[in-house]
Amino acid sequence: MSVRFHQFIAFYALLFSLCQLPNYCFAEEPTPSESHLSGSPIPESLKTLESEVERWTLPNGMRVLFVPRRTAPVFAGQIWVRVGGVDEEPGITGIAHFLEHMAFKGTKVIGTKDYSKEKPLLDELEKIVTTADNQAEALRSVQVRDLYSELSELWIDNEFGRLYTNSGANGLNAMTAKDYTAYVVRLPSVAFEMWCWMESDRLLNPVFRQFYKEREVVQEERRRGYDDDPSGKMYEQLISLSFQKHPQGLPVIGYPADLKKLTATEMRKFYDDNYRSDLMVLVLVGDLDSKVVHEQVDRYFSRFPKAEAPLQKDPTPEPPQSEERKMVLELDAQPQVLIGYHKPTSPDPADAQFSVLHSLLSEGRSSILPQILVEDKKVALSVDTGEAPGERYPNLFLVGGTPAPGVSADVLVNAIQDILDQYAASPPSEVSVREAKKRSRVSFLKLLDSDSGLASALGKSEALHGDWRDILKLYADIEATTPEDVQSLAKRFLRPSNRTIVEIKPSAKAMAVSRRSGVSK
Amino acid sequence: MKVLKNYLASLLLLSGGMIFSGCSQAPLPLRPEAIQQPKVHFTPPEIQEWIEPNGLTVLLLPDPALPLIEGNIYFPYGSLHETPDLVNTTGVLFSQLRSGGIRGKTPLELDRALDSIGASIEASSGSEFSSVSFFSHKDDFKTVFDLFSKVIREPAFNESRLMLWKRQVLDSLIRRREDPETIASMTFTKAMYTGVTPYNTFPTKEFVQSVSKESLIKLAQAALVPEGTILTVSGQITREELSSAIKSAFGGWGGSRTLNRIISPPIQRKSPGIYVVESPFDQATIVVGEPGPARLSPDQYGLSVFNRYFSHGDFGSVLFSEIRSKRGFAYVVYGGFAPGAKSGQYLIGMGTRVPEAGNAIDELLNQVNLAKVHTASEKRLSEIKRAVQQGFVFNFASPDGAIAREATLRLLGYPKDYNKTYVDRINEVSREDLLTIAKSRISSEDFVIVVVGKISAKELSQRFGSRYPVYQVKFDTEPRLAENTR
Repeated sequence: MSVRFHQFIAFYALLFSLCQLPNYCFAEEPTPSESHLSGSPIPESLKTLESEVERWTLPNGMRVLFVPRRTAPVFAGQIWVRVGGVDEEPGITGIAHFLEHMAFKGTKVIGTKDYSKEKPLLDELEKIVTTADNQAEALRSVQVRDLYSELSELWIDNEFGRLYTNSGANGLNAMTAKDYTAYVVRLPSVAFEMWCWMESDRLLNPVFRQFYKEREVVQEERRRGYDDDPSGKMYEQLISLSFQKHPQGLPVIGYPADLKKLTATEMRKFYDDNYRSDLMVLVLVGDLDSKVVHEQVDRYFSRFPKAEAPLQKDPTPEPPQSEERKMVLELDAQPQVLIGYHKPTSPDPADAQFSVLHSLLSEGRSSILPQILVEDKKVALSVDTGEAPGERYPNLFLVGGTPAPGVSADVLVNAIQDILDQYAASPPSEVSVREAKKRSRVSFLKLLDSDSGLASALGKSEALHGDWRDILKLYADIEATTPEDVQSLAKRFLRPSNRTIVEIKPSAKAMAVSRRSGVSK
Repeated sequence: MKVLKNYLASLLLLSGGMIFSGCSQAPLPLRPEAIQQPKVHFTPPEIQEWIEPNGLTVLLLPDPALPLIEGNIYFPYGSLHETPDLVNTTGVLFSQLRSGGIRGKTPLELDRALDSIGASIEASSGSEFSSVSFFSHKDDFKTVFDLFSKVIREPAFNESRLMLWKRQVLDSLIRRREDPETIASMTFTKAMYTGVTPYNTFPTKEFVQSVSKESLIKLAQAALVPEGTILTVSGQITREELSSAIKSAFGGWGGSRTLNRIISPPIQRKSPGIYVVESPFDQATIVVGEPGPARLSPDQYGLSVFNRYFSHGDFGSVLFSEIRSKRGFAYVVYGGFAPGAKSGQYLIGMGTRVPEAGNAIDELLNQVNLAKVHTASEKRLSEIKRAVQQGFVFNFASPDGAIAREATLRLLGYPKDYNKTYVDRINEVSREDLLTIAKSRISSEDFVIVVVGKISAKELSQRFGSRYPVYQVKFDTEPRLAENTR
């Protein structure tokens, strides 16, 4: 069951992973005969899925998932890399997302008229930038301008994307979240080998050309989604205040000061460290022949070197939060409030139980929060729940809302806490939990309904926890959730001392706008 | 060394443009173009169709894959059908149709009935047609389809939900000032059109407060009739099962449309210029456009190709390449011809950092002028045609997508053979057609250019004042001429 926090952070859907899935387990692969659905009422379609998904590992450690679908002569092709914002360090924030942009700039063959001529020019440019005392000045120098002039003659703009488009591609895109980077596209089946060519080449031989121009673009993306957007600012502050040691608190888009000085050299190192075959998952869903898939995938993707040793990543753990944290942002904007409660992620069974809690609280028009806060008490205009920022490490259960005109953020926060306290005092009814499970069953079926949706679910699960079948485990965990489990969650995690609150308080100017409109009380 | 290089080059040529990926591997093509991609052949799924005695058209596409059923009922009534006394009411009608409950069930009872089984019924309004959708597990179809029919035939428009809608919309009227794209779009529309028409009139506090339950009941009775209406259903269901469900849920449903059936053309204001909304955003949002052609104009296929060539927001377009990639002026560049029923728009949107706003506008104007003398090469044109040809299959790749497309084409008045002939007609478009379109359909001197951000009208006036009048606009008020304007 996907937990979405659409109302408040719709924009961040691409950048932040919001689905609950169990944690990564790298060491051991379950045997094919082991079912993740034992002991739960299994829909036939999920049983069928277990037999439909073909999974194998290339000698270099890259994993491949294939599901044949014959609806139309098309397929969804996706590559999931287990690297995202959480793998960054202070000083290079935003580099995982920026690298995803650069993966569209071409290779030694695509995007250039002659790489042998281009390479020394790129090296020279990089030397100037990395040895300059003032990067910005260096980039404006005559020497750099002349280099760009020469490079422009060699570059073929957007050739990578255009080659895909010319083959009838649909939905060519990429996403970077806290936990992963994904490259996705849908193509006619006749373009399958071309997909193998393009994706293997861009991941094996990327050339970071036009780096410093694209750096401007990424900074614009940040301004657009965060600096000019009150909800974006609120979200960024919430995760940063909640995670003061762990990289979960860093923004995937990157801090402005870091974005301004990232170099192609730093990106090359980040790429070398993280774009490893053992961290990559290829997913293919659609009208393809299994034999051809095996042959071509092997032909193109076996070229990747085998990773020597497992990658060790031990980010600083976040110390337990012992008291409430709160921030008030005074902006030229109308009020909003966002609350984050620390929570564990899978394999802790609480993860799946939080999905049930989310469903009870805000999934559907008749769920508890909108019913009580929006309709009955009229203290909010909208309210929603979800989770963020990533799933590989403990994260936050989010509750956000828009206070009704004349209602303070404190009143809304208290009203939300009252409802959560009631869950801590007594469990939800059997009926409501049973209905939440039914919603999850239908959600799972919806997931299977599109090639791209299924590919994403499989790829994410495989990349983050080492086995796509953890989707089925999540389903089973949800089915096993009891009303008492939900009560236990509320007691353990939904306490004021475990929460962080960020509130948008309207500036005097924003208050005046509201008064002039005559809408506020 | 040179000799060795030549020798290696000749080896590559001899291998037919292949490189070797390893001793045991077959050679790989040097470039992706070397890989053969045959023409995509597919047969669109066969949609079953019939007309119910009350005039309701039914389109059915059974899909046995999963135990799910979904559907849509499309009413040929949208905001552009609104007469001046009904402007903005279509959106309210379809919002309240679902949320306001049905006869015999309070809104909460209806919500619970659906939420408890993971089903949904949702309504939405559009400019030329509006729709109500349902989604359910196969086992719950009868229950959900019955509720679906009652939402359409017996809406209750509960007063409490109407009041909630009013509170939410009044709040959104203030919050729209926080969204530069909404500000730009509203400012653009107001500069383009005049009169009280659906094209340029947005909900106000007074309008919101004036909406009553009675007015919604009256509107529903007039708009929600089977005449001209299309019901689409896809999923694990047979024709017999659907026929029986329709008979049971929609039996006796009748009436004829008493509302305006014709979409009136917009009233042009004819006031080109640069409209600057000085606001605290660090990013400039720019909308550039002018009135455009109607949907079924003779050059519709040429317009479609021109969009792909010049401005479509993908990686291959001229504007993406020149404005974003080469010059880095704008992160977002999108748009093109957006044909409408009677008249459409030519519209380009850009998002740029404030100091580059002037450069981005200048480059856009430059590229528009260049498009009148230089157009796509034969190679580029054939690439675009091939992209259309190969990608056309995606219109039919899912049963719900295929059936929604069929319904939409009918509602928008496309000819019956549109799907069959589309690719052939695209293949007929020539380079001359593209030049003619640039020359005859785009007049930069008539552009309305809206800029929203931390930028002064005075600054833009100094740069563009000799070409366009520059107006300083306070959001939601009439524009006034900036200094330094001609």
